[in-house]
Amino acid sequence: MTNESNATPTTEQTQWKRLSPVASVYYLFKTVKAFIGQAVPSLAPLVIVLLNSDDKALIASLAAVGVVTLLVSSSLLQYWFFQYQLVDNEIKINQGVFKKQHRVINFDRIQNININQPIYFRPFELVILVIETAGSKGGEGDLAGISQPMAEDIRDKILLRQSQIKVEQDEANNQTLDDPIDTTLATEKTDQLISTASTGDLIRYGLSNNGMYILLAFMAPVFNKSEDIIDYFFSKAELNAIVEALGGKLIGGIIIVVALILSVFLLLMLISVLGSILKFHNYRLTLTDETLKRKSGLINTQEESLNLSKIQAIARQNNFIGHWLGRENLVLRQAGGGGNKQQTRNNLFIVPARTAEQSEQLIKTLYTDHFDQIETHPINKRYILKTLLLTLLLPVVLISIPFVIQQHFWVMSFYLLPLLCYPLVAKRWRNYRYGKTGEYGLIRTGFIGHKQVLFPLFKVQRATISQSIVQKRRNLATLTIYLASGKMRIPYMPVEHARQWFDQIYAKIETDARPWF
Amino acid sequence: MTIFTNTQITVDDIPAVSSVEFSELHPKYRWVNLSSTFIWLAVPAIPLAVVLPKILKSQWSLYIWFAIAVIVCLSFVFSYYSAKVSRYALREHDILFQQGLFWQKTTAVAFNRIQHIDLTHGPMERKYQFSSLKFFTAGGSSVDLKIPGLPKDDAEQIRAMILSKINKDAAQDTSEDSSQGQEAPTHHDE
Repeated sequence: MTNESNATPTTEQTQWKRLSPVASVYYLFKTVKAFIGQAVPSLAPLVIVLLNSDDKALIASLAAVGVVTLLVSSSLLQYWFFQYQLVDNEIKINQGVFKKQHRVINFDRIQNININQPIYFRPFELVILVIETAGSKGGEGDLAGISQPMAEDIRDKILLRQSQIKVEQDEANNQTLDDPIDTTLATEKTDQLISTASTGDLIRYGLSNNGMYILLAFMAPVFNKSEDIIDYFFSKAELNAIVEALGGKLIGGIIIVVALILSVFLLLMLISVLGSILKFHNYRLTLTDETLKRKSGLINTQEESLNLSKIQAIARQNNFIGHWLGRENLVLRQAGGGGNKQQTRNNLFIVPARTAEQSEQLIKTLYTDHFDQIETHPINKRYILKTLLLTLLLPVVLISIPFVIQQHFWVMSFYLLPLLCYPLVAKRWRNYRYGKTGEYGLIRTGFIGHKQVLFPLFKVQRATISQSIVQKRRNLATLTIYLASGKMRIPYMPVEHARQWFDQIYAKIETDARPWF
Repeated sequence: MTIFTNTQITVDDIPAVSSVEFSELHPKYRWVNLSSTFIWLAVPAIPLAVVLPKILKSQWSLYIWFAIAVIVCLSFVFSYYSAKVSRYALREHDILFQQGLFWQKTTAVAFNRIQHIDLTHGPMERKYQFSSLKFFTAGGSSVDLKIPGLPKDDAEQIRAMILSKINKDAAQDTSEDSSQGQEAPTHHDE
């Protein structure tokens, strides 16, 4: 297989190539997006000119024509000046209309390769090859508007090159050990279908995905305006009539509020389900050599590749709806990009809606150990007391101090609140378990749903043992484990367990030469 | 070249953190730490002590001065003793640091996980020839481990030692990669 990489570049490879002309549509979308994001606020003076002018229609249409011409011509020019070529193990890209940019991307530096297909490319059977390197912010190395087979060809070349490097290094440094793998690794390509998902599965994923609650947070400003919105649709008299019809002032009011909350909830669920279908329609997860590939999408098809060695941790998680449906989602966590929110969301590789057995099957494919017999330990029961007193009661007490000073003693009745939370905290304590094998760690948490994170010990970046004075007296400790994909905590574990974990983790990462990335 | 070995390790053979002998920070650093706390506190505390009683009712000024005095004293005690209980230890493959008066925290950074090391010093530290070492790994967006109060020469020596170790490991890694690189695929294929 070394022949192929050293082969003299054919004439086809050495010529600069253009993207398909349809690519200008991609650039149009991109330019419009940038225009809306950046240029629109600075157009305010123009709007003022427009509003003050006598002939508004004429000026407005002139401005519109101007903007559209600008956008269209800019995207055409961007298409025209974009050229690329493949030479040996590099992609060369020339782009830029006024500011020329020459980019050389070495195959070895590429981290992720995804193939996306927006709907407007579908009739032409064109795709976007998204090439991500460690330093790229995205978009710079995209080949938008090349044919599907071509994109796949380039991707395979890159993947082949990357596996070759590994093999070459092996051969160069270790001729004594002849391993059967290096003869099969790069040449034999076996696509192993791991998972598909039916529409039913996707609906279940939409329901059991916690992204819905993130959406809820975004909607919060809308709730503040809910009165205005209701006012807009119903007059005061109509509203009163509805309240009356539902059975009087208080009960009617409550019913309306409950109905509103329920409908918002249902709406969010609907959005979540639709989003899930949009993103995961025709879902196919395959494993080729060392690379996991996900292909899905209703309108825009996405193909995402993930090298197995890049997985930092695997989380099995479900919320109460998922729990009830008997489904969970598998999240393959990759290294996060230094706290960048946008990127961390992209770094999650989600395998939606799986039954417990399916998850276990996939984990077995990815990790060598068996986790069914793993022995897990509970954390200490004092966790409940600490959560009730410090996390729940203390803030309430602090807030109440000013009221109590002014002799509003009724505020102290709120101190009972933590007591009411007791069953929830106790449930959380009961679900908090941890365990490890020689190679892997496992941390399980959850209230009503559950989350179970599995990670190879050698991928740990750092661990910390901390003990408060109270914990020290009881021989308890809190262990915090930092992975490149995020941190995890095991609170209130026996201190000897914490030290065992600490020692084993450091022994593992210091002796295991496998790269964590 | 090197033949791959993978000898089994029993739990007792693993080096234990509980048996590590930590060394304390330089005793002089306790006073340096206290004086830098003094500078940081004096900036907001003195104007506060002057202005606050004027804004609020005069009969409260005594309480306010008292409260400020208590906070300042506590911070002095705290900064002195927190420097006193901070300890570090160098091992063959990692550096450990223990700190905390009320919450004792032990953390370690393995040399082969280090992304980069910073050597910094604040104004007070600089005056008394102390430095802080900051270690960064991929496991967090900020500093993973900060060891303050190291005599400047020690800090530079430790950093040079760790960096040379990392470079040596990296050089070794390429040869070790051969054994490891082959192990990785089998590992996942199972």
